[in-house]
Amino acid sequence: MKTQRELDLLVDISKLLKKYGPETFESLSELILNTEITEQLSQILIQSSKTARSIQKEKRETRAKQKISIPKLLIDLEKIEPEKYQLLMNFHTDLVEKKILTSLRDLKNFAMECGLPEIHSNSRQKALNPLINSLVKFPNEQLIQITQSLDKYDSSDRSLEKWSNIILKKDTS
Amino acid sequence: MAKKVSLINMKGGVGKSTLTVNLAWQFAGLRKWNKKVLVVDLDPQFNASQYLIGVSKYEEIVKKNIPTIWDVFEQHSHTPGKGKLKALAPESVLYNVVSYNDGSRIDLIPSCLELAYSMRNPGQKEVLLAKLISKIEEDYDLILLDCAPTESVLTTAAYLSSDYLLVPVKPEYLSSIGLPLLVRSMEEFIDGPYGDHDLKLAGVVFNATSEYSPEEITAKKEVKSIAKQNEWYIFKEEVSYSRSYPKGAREGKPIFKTSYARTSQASKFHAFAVEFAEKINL
Repeated sequence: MKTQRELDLLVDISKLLKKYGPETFESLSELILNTEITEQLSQILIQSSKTARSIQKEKRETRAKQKISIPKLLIDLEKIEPEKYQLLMNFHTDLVEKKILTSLRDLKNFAMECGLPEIHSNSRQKALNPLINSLVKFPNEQLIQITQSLDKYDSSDRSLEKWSNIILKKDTS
Repeated sequence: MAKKVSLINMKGGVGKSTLTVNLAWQFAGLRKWNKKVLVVDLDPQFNASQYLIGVSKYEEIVKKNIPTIWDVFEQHSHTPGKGKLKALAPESVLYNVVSYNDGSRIDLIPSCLELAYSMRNPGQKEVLLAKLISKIEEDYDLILLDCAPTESVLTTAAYLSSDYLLVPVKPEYLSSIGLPLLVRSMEEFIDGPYGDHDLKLAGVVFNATSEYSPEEITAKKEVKSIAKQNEWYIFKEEVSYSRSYPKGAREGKPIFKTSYARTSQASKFHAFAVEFAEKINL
């Protein structure tokens, strides 16, 4: 016996020996001693472990997405008003993926700006469906305007230094 | 026909520019109103311009020689070597701040430091702004004039260009003294050559209020007394102090869009905007 690691392997082999019997072990021993095959086997195991992890992650994400349901009013629109459905579906997806109106406060302000009924939900996720439901009533043209008017405020440089340059007539170019 | 309102107080630092800009955003930006708003920056300190367009766009105005409120007052002045200046085309002085797809928008007549020179040489300039506004007012629902806190030709120009005055008052001793100064200014205007101009006082709004401060309670009592003597309306809705206002100015955003602004502050301002709109029949 040389190392602890080798000892550990021996313990594991003994357990397998008990589980599968000495005959099975003997018939496989030639194969196991072939280094090329053990290397391939090791690669396959690493790869399958990675795949399993990625499948699990995908499943978790799908479950999370399924939790955010699409409002029924929106689903009903698909056949009646496909254009509006597409507009609102895109808007809904952007909301779900937090590309727009990233906080509950932003959602509430947006509703106020658009003259929509006040949002009383206390979480952003819960506020999404009531928001979409109120938007369903708008004509398409107005919906386009609403969705395009999400950020209309100037966020350019407002530093004191730049203002000083203008006020003191320093060259700002 | 646009409603024309001057935000005025003979005391500086009472929040005229902040109120002007936030009212403009409320009426243009909220779907409830969807108004076309023009902001006229009548203060040489040009705070409303700074708040509304930020330094980069203001730089563009300076570099491209885009006309400002100074050009409105100096359009007929003689310049050595240049002869008489041409009359200003009204649309050339309008700077678009924001346009919404439904047609609502905010335009600005920006101000500049040089406006102080116009105050030093007033000669007959007080009518020029009203004349210019009369040519463009059909294009707007609301025109807000942010006034300088001193009596000058600019004050007369603001009176002549307005239907209403809105007086922001900070409920504190020195700020409330601005009110009798304003009374005197208005009386002089009424007794002067333009006394037949129809100018109403929309009301006094308490701005930057806090709660339960003894000084504030005293100041409010005094202001209410002066208002009563002059039959001035005091708005029921007050605009409370919030750090979000200066933050909004830094970020170029209205109170209802300022990050971290408490919803209650935004709602209070909205409530005042509603009362103000009712008062001037907007």
